[in-house]
Amino acid sequence: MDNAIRSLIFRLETIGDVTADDRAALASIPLRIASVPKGGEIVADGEMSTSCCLVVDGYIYRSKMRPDGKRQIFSLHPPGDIPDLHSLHLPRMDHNLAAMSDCTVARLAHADVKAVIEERPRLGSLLWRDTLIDAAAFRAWMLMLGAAEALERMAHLFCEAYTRASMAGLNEGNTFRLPLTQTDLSDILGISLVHANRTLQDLRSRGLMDFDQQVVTIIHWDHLRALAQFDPSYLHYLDSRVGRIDPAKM
Amino acid sequence: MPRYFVDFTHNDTEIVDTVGQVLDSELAARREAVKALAEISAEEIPRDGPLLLTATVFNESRKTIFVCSVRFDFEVSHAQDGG
Repeated sequence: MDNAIRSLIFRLETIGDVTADDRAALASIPLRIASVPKGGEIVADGEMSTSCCLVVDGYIYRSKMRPDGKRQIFSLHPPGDIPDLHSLHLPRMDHNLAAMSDCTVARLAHADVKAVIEERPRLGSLLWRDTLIDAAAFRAWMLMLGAAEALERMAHLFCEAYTRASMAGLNEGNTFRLPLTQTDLSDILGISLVHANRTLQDLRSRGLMDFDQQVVTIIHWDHLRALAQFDPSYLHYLDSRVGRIDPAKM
Repeated sequence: MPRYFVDFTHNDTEIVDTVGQVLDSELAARREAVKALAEISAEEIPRDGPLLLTATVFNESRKTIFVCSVRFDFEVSHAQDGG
């Protein structure tokens, strides 16, 4: 089985039941593998999309730019995610999809994905569940943007990134790679660059975590979670597969 | 592009920037410092008590190039009944 589709199966198994037949059906979808350099556009705002983009290696992100050049980053996606799965039904993109780091992506033609879903409705439900979880994550980010202070917001971002890295099997104990720059952090959190930098140094000086050379080390998970008031239930993963409380045990 | 450092003071507490950020120019550094000070003020002022917040921008040689500050103070007046 192709490694690319394996990452999707790993993701789907984290949020629902996948049978051997489902796995075989997913593996039958033809993939077009592409490398995208850091910052490279994958699907542009306004573009008509004919395929979905599976993250195989690296991180990709969704964003939108205001006419004055200000950018808001909406979400980060580790391997196994299909951030534009909704394009199956909403083919005109209403935001940008781009590479946060050097990436490998696999394109799945809409027609092929639709054919598999028609043949296996259970798989269709699972992919639907995936897009609903995506929407739940948007609500969580919106809550933090509208109702939390910068320090809590940043703590929450690192808690989610750690949990998602663990769900994708990308953490090594309490450490994981997160290819974000200071500018990316400020565009995720909706704060100025200097404020983002100060907030990160505040989290570090409290001894809760470290973020150096794009590697995050969680030092005091319980305290970081408490500060962020992070409740991972919105990620809707299976408790049987992923530890509910401590991602390091996933 | 040059790296700039922005230290903050919060009343008597000093927060030293040991990392800095790469910005286009001194003007960009000044603007970023002012934006940050405004954002931090918005979070800090609703907490209790008078406040003096300062942001100081340094260049790579640790030379001060810009200082800005926000002072918040208040007075509570008790109206007399039946006046």
